[in-house]
Amino acid sequence: MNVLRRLPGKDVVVALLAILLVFGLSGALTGYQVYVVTVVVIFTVIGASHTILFGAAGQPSVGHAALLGAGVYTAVAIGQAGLGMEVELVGGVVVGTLIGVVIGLPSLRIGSLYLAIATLALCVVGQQIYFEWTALTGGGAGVQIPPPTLFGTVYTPLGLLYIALVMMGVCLLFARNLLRGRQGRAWNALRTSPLAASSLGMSLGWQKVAAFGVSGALVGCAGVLYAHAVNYVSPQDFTLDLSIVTLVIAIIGGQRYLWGAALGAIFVEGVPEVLRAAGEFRYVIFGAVFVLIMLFFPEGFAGGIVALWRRWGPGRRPSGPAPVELQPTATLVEAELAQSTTGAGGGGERLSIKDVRVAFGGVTAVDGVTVDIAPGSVVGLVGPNGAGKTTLLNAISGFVPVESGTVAVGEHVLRARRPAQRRALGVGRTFQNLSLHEGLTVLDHLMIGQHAVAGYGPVGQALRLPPFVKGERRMRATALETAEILGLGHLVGERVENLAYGVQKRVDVARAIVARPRILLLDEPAAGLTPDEGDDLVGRVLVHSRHVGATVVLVEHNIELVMRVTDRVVALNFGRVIADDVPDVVRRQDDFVEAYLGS
Amino acid sequence: MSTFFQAVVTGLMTGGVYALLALSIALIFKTMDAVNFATASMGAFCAFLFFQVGTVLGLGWGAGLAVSALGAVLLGLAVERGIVRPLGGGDLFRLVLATMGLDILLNNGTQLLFGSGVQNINAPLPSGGWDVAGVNVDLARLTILGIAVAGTAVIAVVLRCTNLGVGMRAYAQDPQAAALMGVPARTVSRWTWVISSLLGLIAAVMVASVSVLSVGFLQGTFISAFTAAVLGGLSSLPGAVTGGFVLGVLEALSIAYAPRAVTIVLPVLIILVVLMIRPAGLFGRLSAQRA
Amino acid sequence: MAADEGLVLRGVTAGYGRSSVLHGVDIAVRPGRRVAVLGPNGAGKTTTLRAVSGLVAVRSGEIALDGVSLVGLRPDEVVARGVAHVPQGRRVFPDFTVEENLRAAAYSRGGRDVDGDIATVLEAFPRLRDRFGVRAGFLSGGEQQMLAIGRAVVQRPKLVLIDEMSLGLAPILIKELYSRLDVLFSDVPAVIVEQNPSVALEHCSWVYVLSNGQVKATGPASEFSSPERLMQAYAGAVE
Repeated sequence: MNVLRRLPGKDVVVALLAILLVFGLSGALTGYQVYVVTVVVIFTVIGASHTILFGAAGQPSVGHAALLGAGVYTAVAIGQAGLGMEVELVGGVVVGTLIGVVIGLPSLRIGSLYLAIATLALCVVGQQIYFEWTALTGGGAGVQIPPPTLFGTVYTPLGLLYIALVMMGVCLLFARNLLRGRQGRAWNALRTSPLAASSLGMSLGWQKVAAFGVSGALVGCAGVLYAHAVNYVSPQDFTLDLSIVTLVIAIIGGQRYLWGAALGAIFVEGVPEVLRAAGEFRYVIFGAVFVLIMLFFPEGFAGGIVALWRRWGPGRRPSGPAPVELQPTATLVEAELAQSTTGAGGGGERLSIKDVRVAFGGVTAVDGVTVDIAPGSVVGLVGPNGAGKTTLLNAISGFVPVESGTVAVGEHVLRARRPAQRRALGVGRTFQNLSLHEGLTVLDHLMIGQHAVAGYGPVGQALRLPPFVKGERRMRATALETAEILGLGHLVGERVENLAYGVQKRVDVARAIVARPRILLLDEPAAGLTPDEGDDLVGRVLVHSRHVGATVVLVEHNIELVMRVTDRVVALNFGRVIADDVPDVVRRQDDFVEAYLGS
Repeated sequence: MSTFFQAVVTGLMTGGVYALLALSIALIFKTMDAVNFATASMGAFCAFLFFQVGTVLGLGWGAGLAVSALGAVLLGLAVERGIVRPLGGGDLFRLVLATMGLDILLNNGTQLLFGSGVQNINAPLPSGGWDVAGVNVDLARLTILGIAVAGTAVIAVVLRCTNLGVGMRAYAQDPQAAALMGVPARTVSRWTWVISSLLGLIAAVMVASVSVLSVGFLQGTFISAFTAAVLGGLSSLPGAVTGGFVLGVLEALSIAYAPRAVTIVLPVLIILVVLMIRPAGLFGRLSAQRA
Repeated sequence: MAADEGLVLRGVTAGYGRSSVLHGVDIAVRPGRRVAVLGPNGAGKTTTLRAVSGLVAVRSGEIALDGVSLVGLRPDEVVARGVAHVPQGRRVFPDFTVEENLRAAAYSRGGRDVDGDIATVLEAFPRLRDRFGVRAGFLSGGEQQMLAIGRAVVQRPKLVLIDEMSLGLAPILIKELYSRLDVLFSDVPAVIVEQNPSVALEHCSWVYVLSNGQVKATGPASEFSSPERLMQAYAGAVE
């Protein structure tokens, strides 16, 4: 049983079997039924394009009807030039990708809500353009499309269905390969927590553009198939409603799963045909089902099936995930002892903060702070509320611009850079609000944490080349190792939203350290935890950091804890440094006491 | 020149309807940061009720108004209880999608209940018109404008002068602080949806009175109203109303002077322009800028 | 539980979402007493007040005002039971004028019978009289704090909760606000959360020191007048 579970690509095998089954049964279908199945297949591909763009990358688009039109009219143009369907398919994919990328470019500037509205605009404008471009589209009258000719042979509708099935298989395989691996994880990461994603080195805008491009490629291909399936097409077809229907297909079927697109297509396109007898009721049912799915099954049919399988299927657990074993006292003592090994691991950089000033809205949050942190040392950053601690962390990690002064990692002076580039310099951080990726497992988080050091790119991933295989194996091993360090070894397969808060915090920390950052910024790791949980977590991460020699900046309110485990304490108040020395000296210092207690 | 003034006058009158619908959209957005895509179909459903009771069953306009108003209230409460309350606190996108599903459901449900034919309603509006300096002022449309203005005024009075209105406005600014003042979130939510629904009913009845009553007759109006709300600022009520009138005039001018294609894409172009230049709209404020 | 007990928290565990911020908090505010809740950031002081007001879910334990349980009530229901909460950051309604803010505070009695209370507030804070028609978003920090306190007065509460009133204000203003509190809420029990304890200690009779979600020390205010004693409670024993 275990062997079967580990077989790579078993989902591909299942899909292949399903496709072959449809292949086989198709011979027995009537002409009309062949048409319906072909439409379902085509809409599965379009649904899959939303699985990537919306399900993974989180960008809703109601402009896909225009993209479909682009694919259709590319086929028309190429067909009119006397070339066969094989050229049409290539053309459709290329045109779809190009237009997809162009639509996606605004992602570099605007947020997802506004981009969604822009796709709405695109759809309406696109349809008008098709109406006006009568030479290509025939205007309101539309245009007839000849039967498909592939490599010289003319195909019947049944033949078209076979071609469509093959293309669907290819498209889904391509999509699946992209989704399983670094690229898919990156899309999911940016959807669920853009903040964390950028701190891990992902360029949010370009990732979205890529998603648009891939989505466009799929729809372009579908457009070519669509043209031949319906034989006669006019700009009337490419309405906003159609765009919405394609998105709904992905959502009803379950936008997180590729096979959900198939379920959605069957439900939306197939069932109404079957229910023709029900007449007008079918759309009422459709609308009602959609509302119910939104209310009760936001993960769609596929998500519902998976949830049921998890609850009632083999391998189910009666109780929730097991708790993490805590050893607060032991780990803290270890952390204290480890203070003697400062810098030994060699994995840290010097962090030089010189006269940094950060201001927004007329408030100077950080007012000329200078701190020099030796490689491998652990510095506690404390201070009352509003003292500027988190702002300083945000400045170091690139989330907030520095008005004056410099921050340098080793020899590199950091300019006004995006957080993604900080990662390349080895700066890792945790977040006060966790910023975890809902719906993803602990292991996923640890793999996402290694995004910047994966060692392969999207092409290698799509084609499953050796760098991909090696990279995945290596990252997985590192991930499991890091999980063990933080006591998460037995929880790697759990979705993080099912975990207790204390465990979630550990995942946040694990994600930050898995790629061995040279500078680790911990933003209140013990906040919201019981005293034992807090001590255990901070203890573990510090023992590990000391071991690899990373430089650590620890922001904490638990002064007791900070005094015990750090080499040095820097205290801020009103954005200025009021104390900077070893813990014992600082705690007795007058202005430190005054900052907390008032005069 | 008279073409210009004619367009402006006609535009103002259409704008009245947009203003009401935009107000409905903005009210929902202001209180719960979500767009109700079923705005049009909810209004349409109630309009069908109005005419069904009034004309088809022949019970008169008074009964029609009573029944449809009751229907609007119940519909608003049902949507609030069934869809908004379970989803409102969490993922807003789910809520918006659910309203889209509701839109499909209501549109087709209306068709089933009332038939898919197109009906010409003999609404109790004054007929005829005046000719003022070469501009034709249609009395029916003027009445509609008057109703729209009155409706907006009523809402304004409710919001400014009643305790509930104060609570709603407080809630829209800071739900938690409002709760600390004793404003119950549930009540605000309910009333917001009921008022929104009633506004939709009025808008739908008015549109049907001067054109025709058919399924989906309000769909185009919804896109224009949504554009008006975005133009005025989704989070600003006076902005939405102003946006409605402005859009009405712009559309009329476009019909008079611009090619047909432009008029069709006009709402969408305006949305794009607003988003690129001033996403908050003419009167709106992006939440980050709050004091 | 008697009707005169004041505010009682027993073994309260609470947090946001899945996090736990309070790990078993016991606090008692007898009628006539003014209690200061002190402690470092993240200790749970604000969460304690929010738990009383129903803004934060209470996982276990009991919260009662004069014998009536407040656990599980919605925030507006807690207000109806007589609790006024002046929140951290003031949270005045920025688009409302000073007048509208004060009137809004009377929501639970239908907005009626407010003029007398408004007069009291304006007498205590003459600055607000000058700014009566100004939108609250344009007021200074100190004026907003006065307004926030004024709203609590309008609510005619049986219990007042005040969260970090002195944040960002000049010492002179802080002193003035505290002395006004003595006048406005002379016979209403109050819980005052402060990060900066000195002024709070002068105007409160009893102290709770919270750290890491638990009560680390409690006693009459006189006991906590020395910085060492306080620091000890905040940060663990000094070696």
